Formats: sequence, C-alpha cells, structure tokens
Amino acid sequence: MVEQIISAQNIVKTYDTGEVHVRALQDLTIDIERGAMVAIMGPSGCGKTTLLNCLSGIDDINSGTIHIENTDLSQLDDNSKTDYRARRMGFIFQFYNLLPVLNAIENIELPLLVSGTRPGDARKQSLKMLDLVGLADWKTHKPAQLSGGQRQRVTIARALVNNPAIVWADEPTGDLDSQTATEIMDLMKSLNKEQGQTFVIVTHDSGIAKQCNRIIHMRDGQIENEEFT
Amino acid sequence: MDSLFGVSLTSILSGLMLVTSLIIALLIYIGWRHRLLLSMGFRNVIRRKTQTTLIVIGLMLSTLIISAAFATGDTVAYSVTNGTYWGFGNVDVIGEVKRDSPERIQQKHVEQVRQHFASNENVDGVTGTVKAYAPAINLDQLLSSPQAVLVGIDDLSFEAFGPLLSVSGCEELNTNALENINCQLDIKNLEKNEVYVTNLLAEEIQISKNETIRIYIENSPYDFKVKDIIHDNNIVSHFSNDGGWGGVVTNIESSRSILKNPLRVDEILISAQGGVRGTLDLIPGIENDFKELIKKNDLPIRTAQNKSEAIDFAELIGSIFVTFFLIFGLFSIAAGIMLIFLTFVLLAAERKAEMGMARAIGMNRLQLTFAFIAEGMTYNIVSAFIGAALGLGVSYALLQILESLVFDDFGLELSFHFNWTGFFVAYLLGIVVTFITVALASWRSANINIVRAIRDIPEPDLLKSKDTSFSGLIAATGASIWYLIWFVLVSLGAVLVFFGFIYGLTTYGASLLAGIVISAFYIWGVTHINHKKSKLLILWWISFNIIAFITWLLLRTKQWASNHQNTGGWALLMLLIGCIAVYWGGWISQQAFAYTAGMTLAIFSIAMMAVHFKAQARLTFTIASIITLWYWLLPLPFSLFIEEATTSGTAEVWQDPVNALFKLFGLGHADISGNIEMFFVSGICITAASTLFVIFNADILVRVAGFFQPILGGITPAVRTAISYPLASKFRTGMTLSMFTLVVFSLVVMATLNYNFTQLFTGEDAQGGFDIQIIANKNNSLPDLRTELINQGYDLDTEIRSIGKLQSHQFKMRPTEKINDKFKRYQVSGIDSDFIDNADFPLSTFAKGYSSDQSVMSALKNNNNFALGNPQIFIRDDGGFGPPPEGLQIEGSITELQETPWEPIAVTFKVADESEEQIFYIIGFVESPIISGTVPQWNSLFINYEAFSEMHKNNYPDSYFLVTNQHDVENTVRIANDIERSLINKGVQAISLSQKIQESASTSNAFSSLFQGFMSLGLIVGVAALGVIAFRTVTERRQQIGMLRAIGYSRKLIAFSFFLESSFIALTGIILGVSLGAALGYNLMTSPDFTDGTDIDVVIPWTRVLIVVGIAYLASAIMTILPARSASKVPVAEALRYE
Repeated sequence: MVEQIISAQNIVKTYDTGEVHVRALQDLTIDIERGAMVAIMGPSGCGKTTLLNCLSGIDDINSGTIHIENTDLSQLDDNSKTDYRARRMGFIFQFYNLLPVLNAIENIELPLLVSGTRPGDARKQSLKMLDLVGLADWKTHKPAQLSGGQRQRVTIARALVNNPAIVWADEPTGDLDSQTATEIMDLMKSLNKEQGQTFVIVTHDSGIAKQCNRIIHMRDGQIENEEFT
Repeated sequence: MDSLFGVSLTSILSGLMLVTSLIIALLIYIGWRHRLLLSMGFRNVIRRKTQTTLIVIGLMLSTLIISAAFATGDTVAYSVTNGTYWGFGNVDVIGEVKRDSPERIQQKHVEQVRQHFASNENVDGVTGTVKAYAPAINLDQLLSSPQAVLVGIDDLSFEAFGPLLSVSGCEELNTNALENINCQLDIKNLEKNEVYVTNLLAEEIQISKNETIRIYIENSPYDFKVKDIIHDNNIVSHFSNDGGWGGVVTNIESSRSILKNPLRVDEILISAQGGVRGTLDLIPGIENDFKELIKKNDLPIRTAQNKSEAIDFAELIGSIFVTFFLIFGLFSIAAGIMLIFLTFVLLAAERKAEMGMARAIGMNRLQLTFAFIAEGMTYNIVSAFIGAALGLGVSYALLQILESLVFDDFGLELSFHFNWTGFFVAYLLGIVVTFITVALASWRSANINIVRAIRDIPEPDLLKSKDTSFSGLIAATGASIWYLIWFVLVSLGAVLVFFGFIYGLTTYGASLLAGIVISAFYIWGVTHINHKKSKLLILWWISFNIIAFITWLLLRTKQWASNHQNTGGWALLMLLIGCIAVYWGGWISQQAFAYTAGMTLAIFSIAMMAVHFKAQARLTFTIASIITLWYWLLPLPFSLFIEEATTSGTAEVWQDPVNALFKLFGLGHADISGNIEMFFVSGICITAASTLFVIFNADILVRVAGFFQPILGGITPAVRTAISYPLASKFRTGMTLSMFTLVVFSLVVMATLNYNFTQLFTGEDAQGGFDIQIIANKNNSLPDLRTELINQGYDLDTEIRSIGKLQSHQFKMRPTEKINDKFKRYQVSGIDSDFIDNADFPLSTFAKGYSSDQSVMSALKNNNNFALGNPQIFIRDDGGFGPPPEGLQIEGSITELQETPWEPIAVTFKVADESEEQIFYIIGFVESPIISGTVPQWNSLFINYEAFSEMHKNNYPDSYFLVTNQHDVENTVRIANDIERSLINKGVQAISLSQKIQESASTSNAFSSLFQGFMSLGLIVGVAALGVIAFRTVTERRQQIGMLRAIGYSRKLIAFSFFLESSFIALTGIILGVSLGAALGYNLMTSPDFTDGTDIDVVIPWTRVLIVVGIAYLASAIMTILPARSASKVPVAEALRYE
C-alpha cells in the first residue's frame, strides 16, 4: 500500500480584507504519496500558493484537516509547527529569499543550526549539499555575487540540507531563464529520485509541470482535475 | 537675554524669519506647481504612524535642546538682573572713598554733590551714608555674625531712595510690596537705641523684632532694640548684600555717634529719575557729570560700579549660561541632526523602488527632492514647535533643581522667565536646521539610478573610482572645486540676503525690497541663461557681470563636473583644505581647533586618496582611524614613559609629529591654544575615527561569534545575523553608532572632569591641614585666641591641638623686573609659625635650591623676604569665561616653571604708607585650585606673620585656623559651635572646614549632575535612532523574516535576533563612548596645561558612568522590544508572498 505523506481533507481558507471576503481554498481535499513529485498549476489567483502555504503549515486554515506524516497540523502550536518545519520540511522560493548578509554556506546551514545540529556537523552537511548542487567552489560568495541559477541552487541546497521529508517549491524557476530552469528541474528530479524526498511544486510553466509525475490543476480555490505522467 | 555670540537676538530672529519665509515660499511653490508631489509627501506622513511618531520625537529633540538652553539662560539672566535691580534699588550711581586718598568723604562733600545736581532734572536725590563692618550678636540665642554691615541712613535726604519695607505683612518682595503702605517703615521713627535688622542677618543670628542685638565698634559693645526686621531691598540691600552678611540699619546720627565721627560719610549715593528700572539710559550721563565734579574739585571720591554696569554684567552672566548650555548641548544637537539625516536616508531607502518608478515615468531629481522636502517639512514644522515648547518645560524642571541645589547658596531667587524672541529663535532655528538636513538628505536620496532602484540592485561602492590616472585625478579635483564653488556661491548669496534683510529691516525698508528684487532677478537669469534673444537677459549679464559669468561657466560645465567627480578629487580637495587649516591654525592664528581638525581631515583625505588608487579600503581606513585616535588620545598609551620623553625632548614627536618635523628645519609653529570648543571638535574627530574603525573591522566579531558556536548553540544563527546585518549597512550603522558614541563620550568626559575637579576642590587636601576657621572682626578684635579661650574657661587642651594666625591686607606691588609696570593691589596673607607648621598646602612647583614642600615652608617661616605664590598671578591668555583676575600679573605659567628649574621671582611691595618699597621673593607656588575654593584669604600671596606685621602695623588677625584632636565633621562642628558660644562677646564666627567642604561638594555634585542630565538628552536621540532603524529593518526584511520562519526560526528566535541587532549597535556605541571618553578625560586631567600644574590622581567615576550607560542601554533595549516583537509576529505566508 502506498503511504500518503500529505493528507488534506475539506480545507477552507478565506482571506478577510476589510469588507471583502476571498475564499482562496474551497473545501479542497488532496492526498500526496511519499516520494512523489507533484506540480500544482492554475491561473493567477486560483489558490496555488495558498494551498502550498497551508499544507506546509506556514499559514492557517479556517476549516478542514491537514495531516503531514500522520501528524495533524491543526493540533500543533506555532512552536511545534516551526520545529516540525525545521526538521522535516524544505522550502524553495521564486525569489530565492537568501539572506544577503550571509554567504552561500552560511545560508545553507541556517536550518540545521536552528534545529540544534552541532555547528561542526552543520558545516559538514552543508558543504556536502553545496557539492551536490555543484557549487562547492562558491561557498564563500554572498547571494549578490551569484547568478540567478546559482542562487536557486543554494536555495535548493538549503531546502534539502536537513534531509526533509517534503520540499515545497513556489515557482522555483519563475525567475530563471529556460536553460537554467531546465538545469534546476533536472537537479530536483535527480534529488527526488536519489533521496526519495517528496516535492510539491507550484508553477505556471507547463514544461516544468510535465517533468513531475503528477499534475494538479486548480481553479477558484478548488482542484479542477489531475493528470499523471 | 539680548544677544548670542555677540549678535543681537532680534537680528538673529529677523534672519531666521526670512529664511523660514523662503522655506515656506518653496513649499507653496511645490504645492502650486507640483500638487501631486506635495500630496505624496503628506500622505507618507500618515502611512506609518509609529515611524512618524519616532521621527517627530527625533526631530523635536534638537529644537528642545536649543529652546531649553535659551529659557535657562533667560531665566538666569532675568533672575540675576532682577537681583541686581533689587540690590541697587533706587541707587544708580555710587561714590566711595578714593582708595589711596588720605582724606575721607565728609558731609560737606555730600552737600557739594547735592548742590551740583540740584539743577539736574535727571537726578531726584543725593544722599550720604555711613557704612562699617561690625560683629553682631544675638545675646539670647548666643549666635553671632562677624561681618554685619552697620548702615547709617540720612533721613533728611532718604526719600528719593524709596521706603524701607517690613518683612511682616510683606513676605513676598515684589513691586506691590513697594507700594503697600502697611509695609513701609520710616527711618525718622527710629529712636537712638533702635535699629532695623535686615532679613539676611536676622536669619543668620535668629533674631526677632523687639529683641536686643549687640554690635561691637572698636572693641566696645553697643546694644540696640530691634524695632523691625526689614527686607534686604532698595538702599539697604546695596549694603547688606555686600559680602552676604546682612545689615543693621540706624539713623545716620546714631551710626556717627558710635563710630565717634560726627561728619563721617562712607558713600555718596545718587538716584536718577525713573524709579528702580527706568534709569539705565540716564546713568552714564549722570556718572560722567559726577566724575567731572570729582576731578574739578579734587574730591576724595571715586565712582564704584553703577547700576547700569551691574545690569550689563548680569546679562553677561545670563548669556554665558546660554552659551554654556548650548555648547554642552552641541553633542546632542549634532546627534539630533545626524538622526534627521539618517531618518530621511532610511525613508528614501524604503521607497527606493517607488522612487525608481517615479523617475522611470519622468519625474526629475529635483521633483523627487521636492516630494521629500514636503514630507520632511510636515514633520518639521510640527515637531519643532513641540520641541520648543517642551524645551521650556525641560528648562523649568532644570531650574527648579538648580534653584534648590545651587542658587539658594548664593542667595539668588530664580524666577522662571523666557522671552518670546528666544522661544521663536529656538523654534525657527529648529526648522531651518532640519530643513537644511532634510534638503541634503533628500538630494542624496533623489540621486538614484533608475534601474538599480527598481530592481533593488545595490549601489556601487562610492569609494571606488574608475579613472585612477593622474589627469583623471586633476579633472576630479576640478569637479570637486566646481561643487565647492556652487556651495560658496549659494552660501554667500544666503549670507548676503540674511544680512541685507537685517540691514533693510533696521535702516531702510527699500533695501529689503531691492534685495528681494535682485535675488529674484538673479534666479530668473539662472533659469533663462540660454535664452539668447531676451533683452532682459542682457540686462542680467550687465547687472551681475562677474557673478553672471561664474554662474554661466558653472552651468556650462555641469555635466563635465558630474562625469568627472570621484573619490580622488574629493580627497585632494579635502587634503588641500586640511593643510590650509593646519597652516592657519598652527602658524597664523595659533588656534588649536583649526590645527587639529585640519590634521584629522588631512589624515582621512590621504586614506581616501589611497583607496582611490586601489588600496584596500578596510586596511586604509583602519590605519587612518588608528592614526587619528593616536593623535587625539595621546599620551594615554605612552603615559608611562612620557615623562622621560619630555625630558629627552622627544615628547613632541609623539604629541605633535608634524610640528616636531618642521622644528627640525627651524620652521616649527608657536604654542597653540584652544578653548571649550576643543571639547566638541575632539568629540567629533574621535567619534568619527572610532566609528570607521569599528565599521571596517567588526566582521572579526562574526568570526569570534563563530568560535563560540558550541557555547551559543541554537542562538548562533541569531547572533550571526544580528552582527552581519548591521555590518552590511555600513552607512546607517555608522551613523547610529556615531550618535551613541558621541553622546556617551561627552557624558563620560564630563563625568570624569566633574568628578575629579570636585574631588580636587572638596577633598581632604582642600582643608589645607586645618579643621576650623575662626573669623574675627577688627571692630571687636581678637588679638590672641588662645588666651581668650582660656579666659572664657574653654577646655583648650582636650579639643585643640594647634592654633595658627592669619591676617590679610591688599598691598600694592609689581614684578620687580618690570620697572615700568604700575603697582597694583593684591591680597597678601601673613601666616604665623603655627600656621606654617600645620599647613598642608600642596605645592605645584618650587624654586631652585629647594628639595621639597617642607623645605619651602621652612624657608618661608624663617625668612622675612620670602613669599609663597598663587598660580592666579600669571597672566591668563586663554580667553576663558569671565573677566581676567586683577592685581599682580606675572608673565609665564606654572607649566613652564615645572618644566625648567627657576630662580625665585622678585616682587616689589609698597610699604609704610606706600612711602617705601620692599622686595619679596616667591620661592614656591601652591596648587591653587585645591585650597583657594575653601577659604578666600588663601587665594593670596603668603608671607610670614612677622614680616606682615612690620608692614601692616596695629592690626589684629582676621582669622585663626585650628587643628583639632578629632577631625571628623561631627566633632569639628561641635567644637566650632562651642567656641562660638564661648566667644559670644567677641561675635566671632567658627566654621568647620570639613563641613563647609562637604556642603560645597554636594552642591558641586548636584550641579554637575544637572549638566550631565542636560547632556543626557542626547541619549534620547540615540535611542530614537535605534528605534527608527529597528522599525525600518522589520519592514525592509519582511520577506526574509518570512523565509526564516518558514525554515524553522521560532518567533522568539526572530525577536531575539532583532533585539540582539539593536543591542549590538547600542553596546558597541556605549563601549566606544566609555573608553574614548575615559581616555580623553584622563588625558585632560593629567595635562598640566589643563589643571594649572596641579597633580591629580585621576579617577574615572565608574559608578556614575555605569549608571548613565546602564540607563542608556535599558532605554535602547525597551525601544527595540516593540519592533522585535512586531518582527516575530510577521505572518509567514504573507511575508513570503508580498514585498
């Protein structure tokens, strides 16, 4: 039997902006199996990023349940969710979100240090991960000294350094040229294959989505259809 | 207060009003031509309320400090002036006995003067009075005052001098009391055996109405019934305030009778028409008339300080107070200006993308600057007003404390007072200073690259120049000069308009109009200079010719200058200015501020030049900072061998290497001198250097933090980001660090100086080895205290170990070698062998042939031609506050004498009724600050008693100095009281010196605490700066906070990281300020030039310093908790999604 790493039932998320109530997710249900590489697609404003934020626990839902690795997120307080993220999740963002004042290796070891890994071990693991993404020679460079593709590789390394169960990626190639985008996708695919982590990728790009083994199409806060490749 | 730094306050106000009007006109212009820009500015004000509040607080602080300084000065000036008016009452011009005249003033002289002024309608009264010092005793309470003033008033000519006022029924002394018929007393009603006692004396000896007061004249007692207690005002206060002892008022005949001189007159008093306050304009004329009469008839009279002169002096005191507060507030004002600048630079950074977009769609730099100015002025106009008003409140609080702590001791009643001119000057000054700062910050912010702004690409390193060729350097220098000329042109224009306005306002209104028309015409010409066909432009060219040509040339070369300016050019220009300042300060004017500031500028300009030529910025500025700190803070690190270096002549190489170098070629400069402004200059230079040092090297701390990772554990990332972020924003961190450092530095220096001087003046040494001073009066002489005490049954042996005698007199003298100098009076004190044996007067230097303080004192005891000097007799050329000391003046200084062995200094005295001369040799100098504050008679030349008695015969000691067996305050006070009671018939006053010193120490401490409190206002600026930065940081790093939260940073860790970041800046500033302040304070207190050669064991008042910095840190911590909390509450998903 295939193990479901993510299981969300009837989740509702509304945004209250003064007089306007926006139902970003409407009674949405989704299950994702461990080791999958899932793409979430849809037009702007359909709720892709909201879904990713809610599933990863960085945003709260109004109703419904979300289980990650059989843990009910709604039962966790903020500190527990934070700790869970630090240990079991990795994040990749469109605009990299690296700390500009830290160099590549320091950026990568941040999640490890936060989750209590000994500094020496953290450095070793980070170097290994940096090597894995092909940037071992760039470890002392600050984000401003790296290209877009290199920054995204550092972000991926940071996302994977704590050996997470799930990697959340929000438009990971949105700010990259097509060749670099392909390289990044190849990298994520190989990591998915070799390390068995689950990847949930929000994207506009059908070319990127097609490289995943499952594509979820969203519209108006609901899943419109799914396709498996 | 009418003037500041010599410029009339009205003129300053007029100029400021003009500048403010121009600023408002500019705002109206912006609103009229660019309404959108104005709206942009205004809307931003309400965009972030917390940030706006902080900005308003920051902006108002400078105004607050200026306003508080003005109001404090105004109150002091008003109160001193008030006191002076009351002191003089209706007395306007005073004639007293000519000093060297053998003849005394007599009643006939009074008649002669009265007759002379009879036809002068400006004079409403002339009277003669008797004045003598006499001991006064309350026989019931057994309390005495040794120097009460016996005043004899002539009831026949007294009317013009106003009524005597009873205390009962008129407790509050004011103008109403003068008119209250129930308070008025008539001198005519005094019986022969009755007196009025002034309030000052009544309180001193606790005497009341109808009790008996005894006074001694020529050793004979006279008892009087106290008819009433009167206010020390009007004619009476003129006498009773003399020495602060209070007075006993009798009818003139009674006084003459007990003084056994029926015609005696001591002073002739003239009252002018106009009451107490309305006579100032008449006084000079009346006094000149009086002087002519004296000269013409060779009367034995000389004029004393008149009311008008006394009022001028009072106003000078007020002005000194304002200057003092302003100078000590300069650090806070500077910090305030830096905060304003920083605030607007941060605002600009926050809106960088918006500004980039605005520029992209066609808004020019000037328009962007206008938008910022509009916003800045909205904050400014409101906050400056709040600041000025709060300044009055601060001043009020300050003065309440001042009055209770300090002025009460001087008998000065403070009445809070401010004039609207001062208030508006502070308000407008706040507006103008803020406007200039905002305009500069706006101009800097508007100077953005559109692409960089929109894409948020970091600005290029300004220090790095592309063109490092020699020709490029020359061109760049030319470009820098281009900017300098514009600056000079605009400044000159502003100065001309400023003074033109004042001149136009005070003389011809037309010139004001002309000035405005000319300015407008010039500006029109600048904007139309390329319109070749305009006839008006030809007129413009003709009218402004040279200036027009310079303007044209500048406009034509604008692009060239903009393209060529770089670090190298600015560095060369700065180096040039620095060298000129060094030359002017060292070789032309001998001004330390120009010399030292020029030197600092030169050091940093060389560093900039090196960076221009590709030297590593970090290394270069680190070296430059170290050299600057070394230059300013010497001899601290070398103090261990500085003495050796001085004797071997190498000290100067360390202290002033430039001059040492020039001296090698015989081109060294003369000694340079500096005043109080050096405190500010040193603060700025030291702070700038240390800030640069930290900013360029603090990444070492990151490595240190890395080293401690195993200990720090989970907070390592917080520590790392807390240090990395501030270091990544060098400008804003540097500015905030400077503010903190500057204010803490100034506080520590002040605390160190105050503490050590207070210790010096009020330490055990200040007692000079004695415990009690007994003050006697020649009218009830005390030839031998020991015998008198034994006669009164006092147990002498149990309590007293030794009794020394001292008698003072002002002798005429001059340095013997200066045969052309006039003889001037100077106080000389004769001291007997008991005094000399027990005196513990530390000496700062002694003449050749003496090996110790003891050998000098021994020589003084045994030689009737030796004297002990006081450093105050040296000619003072430091231009310090207040008039220079009068009397004997000798060239040189204590420092010079300390450096080289010296021969005894000969001084010639006039003796034997000034018919003969006698030479005395000064063989040593006392450390004057230590002892002169305790006993006024110790501020003199000391000779032995035998020599003194030979010159000044038939007199008895003024004071006795006792060494008791028990030296503590409690016992010396008890013994002093016992002696006073035992000698009640002599009316002596016994003072416990330790108690006196203790009291003055607490006053001194309170006063210095108050000054430090005022200076601490600057800390609020530093704390506000941290708050502004912290809030800004949260906004700026919203997305990064989201990411950190996403990857596992807990809320606490985020908050802690932000808190740590602010703490890093605050603590670094505090550590820098404390160490630099302590170093400079130490250097000053160990510099003989600064301490008049007094040897001081410098102590840094760590407790006081730690309290101040503790409060500063606590305040900054509280200020940053709010933004840290807000950072921790950033919603993760939103932060990640939106900018």
